[in-house]
Amino acid sequence: MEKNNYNNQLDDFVQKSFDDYEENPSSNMWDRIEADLPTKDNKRPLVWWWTNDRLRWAAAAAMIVLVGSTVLCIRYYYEQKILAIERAHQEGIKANQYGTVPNIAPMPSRESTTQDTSISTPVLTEKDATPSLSRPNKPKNIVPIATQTDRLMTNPVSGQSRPLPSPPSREKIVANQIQTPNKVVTNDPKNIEPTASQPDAAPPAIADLALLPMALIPTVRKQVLDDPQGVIHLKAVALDFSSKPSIIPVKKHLNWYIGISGTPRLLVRQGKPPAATTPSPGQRPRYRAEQDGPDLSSDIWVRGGVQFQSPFGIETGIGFQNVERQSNHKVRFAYREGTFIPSTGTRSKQFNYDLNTYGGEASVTLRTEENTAQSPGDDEAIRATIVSKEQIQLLHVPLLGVVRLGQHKTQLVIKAGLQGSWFLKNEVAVSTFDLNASRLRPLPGRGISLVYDKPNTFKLGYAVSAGIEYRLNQHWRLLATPAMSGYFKQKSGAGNKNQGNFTAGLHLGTQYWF
Amino acid sequence: MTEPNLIDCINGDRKAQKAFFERYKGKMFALCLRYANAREDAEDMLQEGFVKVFRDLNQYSGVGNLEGWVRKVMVNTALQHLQRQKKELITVDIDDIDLPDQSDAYDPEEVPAQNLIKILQLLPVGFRTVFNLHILEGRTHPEIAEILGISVGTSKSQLMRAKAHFRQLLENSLTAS
Repeated sequence: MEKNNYNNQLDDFVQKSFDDYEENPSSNMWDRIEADLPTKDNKRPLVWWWTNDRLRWAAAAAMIVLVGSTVLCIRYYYEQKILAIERAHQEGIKANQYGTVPNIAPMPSRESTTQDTSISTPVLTEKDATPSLSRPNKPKNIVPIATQTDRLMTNPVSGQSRPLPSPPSREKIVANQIQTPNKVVTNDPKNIEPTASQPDAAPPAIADLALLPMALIPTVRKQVLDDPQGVIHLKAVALDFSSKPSIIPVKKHLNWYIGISGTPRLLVRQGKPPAATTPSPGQRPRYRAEQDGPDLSSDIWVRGGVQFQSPFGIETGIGFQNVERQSNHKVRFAYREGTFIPSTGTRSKQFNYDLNTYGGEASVTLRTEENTAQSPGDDEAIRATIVSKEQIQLLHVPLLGVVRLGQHKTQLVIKAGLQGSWFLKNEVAVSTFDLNASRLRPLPGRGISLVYDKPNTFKLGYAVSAGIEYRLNQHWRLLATPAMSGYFKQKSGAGNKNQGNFTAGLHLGTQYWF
Repeated sequence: MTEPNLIDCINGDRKAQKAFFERYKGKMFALCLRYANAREDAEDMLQEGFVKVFRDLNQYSGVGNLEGWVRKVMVNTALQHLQRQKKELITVDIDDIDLPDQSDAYDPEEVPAQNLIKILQLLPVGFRTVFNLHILEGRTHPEIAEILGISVGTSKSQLMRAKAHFRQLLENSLTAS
């Protein structure tokens, strides 16, 4: 007992000694502080975020994701383009082998190349009821009424017919050279190798292929250029489909996109906070507070994706979300639920409760002291309102599967997948509380304190949305999709599970399709 | 003393910031001295703390106790400063360290706080931190455990040892005088 009294006296002596004690630092202290303070000119540097380690890493990660996805998209785009050309070529070869595909213009013969006035393509007359599919090699049953300028070429995909342009002259062939690793087509006629199906080839249609960023697509390069037949393929395509039209099937299918969008969001809380529990002796009591006030935030996104030939696609991107919340927490205690503050005697009690925040879980301690001679009763109700302010900045990176349904201008779009969220900034502050208890008042100078139990730095969650995309024209689309996202439950630093909160909002934006 | 204009401080007005510094420097330096190993360390803490205060002053809501808010920033800065100096802040084993048993004679000419600061600075950093947080900041053991990343039991035992050693040093100091 004596030892305890001595200890208490020592504590009191130390506390009183430091009450209102002040000591001046060295006289140049202000100069040292001033030297570290940002001047008005450099208070907010142009790339202010570069000074922040986490932001710098986040920016680097974002750049990697963007550059990587862009390279993949470009590569995919050109692979599809060349594969489409090859498909078209294969169809042309089949037509020549079996001579049974009337809707593809036959390849011109050497004669047709040299004799511009020859008629090599039979065209059906309107009177002919027999489909040309069955008799393409019997032109004597068909009246060849068309001249060279009337010949039709039919696009194998669109089915639209149009006049087939004249085969290119020798001079045109000469003017359009294609170089391959193995051979060079030059203006020397000896170097123009005739093949069985197309003895004389004209490559102008492929001129734009020579401009492709081949360095980005080594597999395509190997497929087309290193192939001993590469030149022949290219020539065949040119012969079969003239110039630009051979590319049309690819152009019709735009399969990757990039867009910007934004989402106003509302935080939705699941379930009610658990009821207060009476602590066992020696245990720190914890209570959850009811929280009111709307939790609105918004985020902005840059997203890109690939749509495969099927309705399926994938999407990724980067989103930045800023959350600033001010919440009123209404807490209730019975006086007996508090614990005495050791350093202040028996007339002061403190009450603890958990603050469920957006980015973690914080613990708040209210310290009170009696302000009347009569102590509160054990069951006397104590109510307080505490204001908390949170400032959170998040970087989201989703990886979503996408399904687009419908062939009309308006498509139904469903997206779902995982979302990683990095907390670039995660701060909580409690400012004051109103104590509704006549016999108690906040302990002067130490009325309220907060401990932020291991605030989150990264969270894995999910994102789901379903809505519509409206095609304005070939390239531009508008999107409006109700969206929901949340985090998977995880244990907080205090050993409690975070409440299952999620956000719901409307994702609005635009996309450019390539 | 007139209260400094916070808006001007937030906007980077040097005159207002200096007035703010003058208003709180004495109390905050006393606080830093309690946590620091030496006066030089305390000055470093004070400098770092005030830079943080001016940087984050816009986060102060204006409703609560400003001094309490500044004090909180200073305590956090002091703890971070100590943690940088010594990674394992509080895991000091009583058997592994040589506790000084001699302190300067208690100088009755000085105010008690100055004598106590000298004694506090003789304590190992872990003892001193727990002593400060519990006795002078009013933090509970679970709170101290959370702040320092130690167990509640460690916090309690460190405080008990800190108080015993502090008492011993104080008695020695009084005897020497």
